[in-house]
Amino acid sequence: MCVPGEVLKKYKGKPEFDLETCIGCGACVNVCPAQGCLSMEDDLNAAPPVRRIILRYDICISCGNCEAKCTTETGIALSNECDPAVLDMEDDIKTNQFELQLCEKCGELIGTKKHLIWLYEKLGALAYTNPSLLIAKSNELHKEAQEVEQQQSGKDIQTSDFMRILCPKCKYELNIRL
Amino acid sequence: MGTKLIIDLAKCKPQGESGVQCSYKQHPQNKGFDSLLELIRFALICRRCEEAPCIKACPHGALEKVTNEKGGLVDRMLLVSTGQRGALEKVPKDNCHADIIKRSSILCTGCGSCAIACPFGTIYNKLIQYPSSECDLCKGRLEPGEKPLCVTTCEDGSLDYQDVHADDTEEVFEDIVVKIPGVGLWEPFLKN
Repeated sequence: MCVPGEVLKKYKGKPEFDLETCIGCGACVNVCPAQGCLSMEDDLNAAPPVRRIILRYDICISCGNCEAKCTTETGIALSNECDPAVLDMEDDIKTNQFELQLCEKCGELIGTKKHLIWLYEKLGALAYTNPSLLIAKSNELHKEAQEVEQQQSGKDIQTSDFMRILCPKCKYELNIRL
Repeated sequence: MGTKLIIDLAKCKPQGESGVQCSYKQHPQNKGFDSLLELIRFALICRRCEEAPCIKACPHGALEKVTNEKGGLVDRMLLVSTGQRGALEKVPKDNCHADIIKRSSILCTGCGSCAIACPFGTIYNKLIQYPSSECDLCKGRLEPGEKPLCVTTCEDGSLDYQDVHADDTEEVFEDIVVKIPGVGLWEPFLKN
């Protein structure tokens, strides 16, 4: 370290993702006041579809908004690291990648898989109101054994769609029509 | 009754899909119409769960239940449906005032947890705007006979701005008319 002496504990340095608890919801991207510092891109055509959350230290103003508004409270936090100098520009850009969950009916983006599992855990017993969350969690638990091919369902809403991970619009259709 | 904004709920789509623009002066990117749609969904389509998953899912407590809000959307809204003879009929708003979900625009971070948690698909991401917008119905900014920008740019024909004559001729204060697709389909949405 080139900084002499100790850095204060409350020093607002570079923000760091906590890869364990960050769920990739994108709240930090929304609340970031420095335009271009935190950004998000969804790649729906990749296999599997992914979301990238990109953090650029050269634009970051260390305001701490992302930390204060983080959905999981610890997903991103300001560290004590205060040395902004890098030799390679690439080191100034941090990318965090998440697997996306698409609607099994219409293919629309629902959120990241981690977000669904986080919600399952947060809601507790209330998660049983929502089959999408239960299935997302069980898919996570049986990741290896899960290579069962998805049965394609037609365009019309069927009773079997109750046991699929659905986007809000398909869920609404399902509840009105059946 | 005066000129009102008429929203046909059966045809209605979010702002990005129907090409609706907003003429809010300082912020042309304002999504005023989406903010109206959000309020309408909370007031009419929301099932008002006793223990609401959306409220529990919100990490910042931005959602809450409001009862009898004076001047809120339910007060401003007139519900009509097309009756048997093609005339517009007023739909009573009984039981419409209790336990409506309200989203705080300051606390919300747009993370979308409520949209995933809602068991009925009432809330969806494109409807929950971050940052939030407001609709002032272009009051005081319209020339006589002029229609708001959202009505002229709407591609799906769900919006209109004209005089309304409902069967019930009593004077009403509402400034938004929500056209709903027949009482029969609608009844399940209202809390009995």
